[in-house]
Amino acid sequence: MKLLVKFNLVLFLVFAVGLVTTGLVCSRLLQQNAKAEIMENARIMMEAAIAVRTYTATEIKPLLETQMKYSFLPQSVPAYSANAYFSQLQKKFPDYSYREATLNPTNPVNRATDWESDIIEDFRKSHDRTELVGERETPNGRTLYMARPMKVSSPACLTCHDTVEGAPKTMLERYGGANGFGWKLNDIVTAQIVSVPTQLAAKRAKGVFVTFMISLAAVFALLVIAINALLIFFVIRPVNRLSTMAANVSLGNSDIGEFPVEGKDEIAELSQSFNRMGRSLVEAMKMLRA
Amino acid sequence: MRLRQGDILESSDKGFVQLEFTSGGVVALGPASRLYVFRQSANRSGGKAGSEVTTELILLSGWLKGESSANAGAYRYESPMLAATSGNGTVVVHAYDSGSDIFVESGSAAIGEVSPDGSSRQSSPAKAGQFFSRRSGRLTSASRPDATFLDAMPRPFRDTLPARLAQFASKSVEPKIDHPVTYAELQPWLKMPPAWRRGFVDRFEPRLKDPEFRKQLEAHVAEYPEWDAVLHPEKHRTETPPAPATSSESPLPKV
Repeated sequence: MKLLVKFNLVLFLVFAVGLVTTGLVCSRLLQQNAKAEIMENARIMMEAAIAVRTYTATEIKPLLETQMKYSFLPQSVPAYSANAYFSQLQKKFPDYSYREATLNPTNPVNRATDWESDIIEDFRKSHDRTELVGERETPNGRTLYMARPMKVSSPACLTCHDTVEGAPKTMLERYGGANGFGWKLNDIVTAQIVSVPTQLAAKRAKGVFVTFMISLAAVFALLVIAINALLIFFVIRPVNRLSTMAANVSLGNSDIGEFPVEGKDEIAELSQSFNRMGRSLVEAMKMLRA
Repeated sequence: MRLRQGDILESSDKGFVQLEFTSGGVVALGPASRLYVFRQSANRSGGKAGSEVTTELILLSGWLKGESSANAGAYRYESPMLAATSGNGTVVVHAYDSGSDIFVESGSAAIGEVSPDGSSRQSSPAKAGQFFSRRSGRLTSASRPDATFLDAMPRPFRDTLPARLAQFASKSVEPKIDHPVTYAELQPWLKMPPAWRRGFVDRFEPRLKDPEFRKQLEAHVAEYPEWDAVLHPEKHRTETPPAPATSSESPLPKV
């Protein structure tokens, strides 16, 4: 087996092991990063929704107070504004979805489904828990979700959610008096839930992974080409020429001239030694003939 | 522009008018509305705060929203069918051909029916959110205003009336006389309940010099009979009572 083949075999073996190992590690890291990034985005979205809710409750609702005596304006409801904000956001980020799942909501659209109710109950049982991240199967595939508890933190919330008698008449006109009452201050009644298909994390990770692996393979390929070129030009060719000269000398052909010495590397030293040996051999042959 | 007692205001089909009283009350008129400042007294004398009626406004037709606070004195808003008195609250009054509606937006008010002669009947207390309607002589009340009322109500009335008096307090604008009042302009006011049009004869009598005004007034005098005495004084001239008789037989014929 030739030297070049041996070198290339070893190089390919090392590169193959390196690529596979790096690929496996990278793939896992990228998946984790993509998931973490998605969760971080979800957190920002939730915080923004909370900010919109606060703005609605403190600045919009008082402005609409008089109008609310004539007709119900959902724009004065923090949950409505949070959902409206997210609908706009969803135009740019269609993979994310937002819910304010509530156990006993005024608007039935916000009623918590079974799995959402479980999350709210979980938050109610462990008050210290501020966040829950998980995955679940849906008809559209596996979904990653992040949930946060929402408390009845202000007595202002109870204006609409304490008793039917105390609720704005225009709200009762719209939603009736059957749901959304009996809330208590500091009770956890709602969970903010942001859901994203797990495919999104895989898709993002895959995109980066493919680019990274192609780049890595390209670097390996360049490296192999460079190593081969160096071997051929600086080792294999000079060694082949020296081998040819040595073969001629061994066949009694002493008129082979000098091997050109270039540089000061090991091949140059070998060439010098070879030339010296050639000269000594010619001298020795001359002395024998004399 | 400062208003005086007896002033009549009419808003255009798309116009809004806001009246602000130095006592703190704010009244807005909707489009195509007619208002008569029946009584207005800036200074209250005695009486419980918020209970003494300092201002009486007559809404002949259209929309009115009145806001008053506890220290502004009581405001009385009258329409041809219903009247509201509020010392601390906001009411919306709608007067139209076949009836009147009143919605107590906030605070409290006293709501009463108005007789055809303009006098008020017994009023009853009303809470915030209550709606009263008198159509074809029948008074109804509800805990919410009806859809017809809400649909027709001028949109700006859904908000609290913004106070603007401070911006114009230093300005004094007097209205200019555009033209003498015509019969067509005055007719709706001449036909309003008699108790409200007291003093109109003295006020508008000089317009009788206008033959056209006189002619049109006379054509409908049956609707405002108090004018008959001015139009036809000869019919209403009272005979001088006979001097006491000095003898048992008077030379003058008995009436």
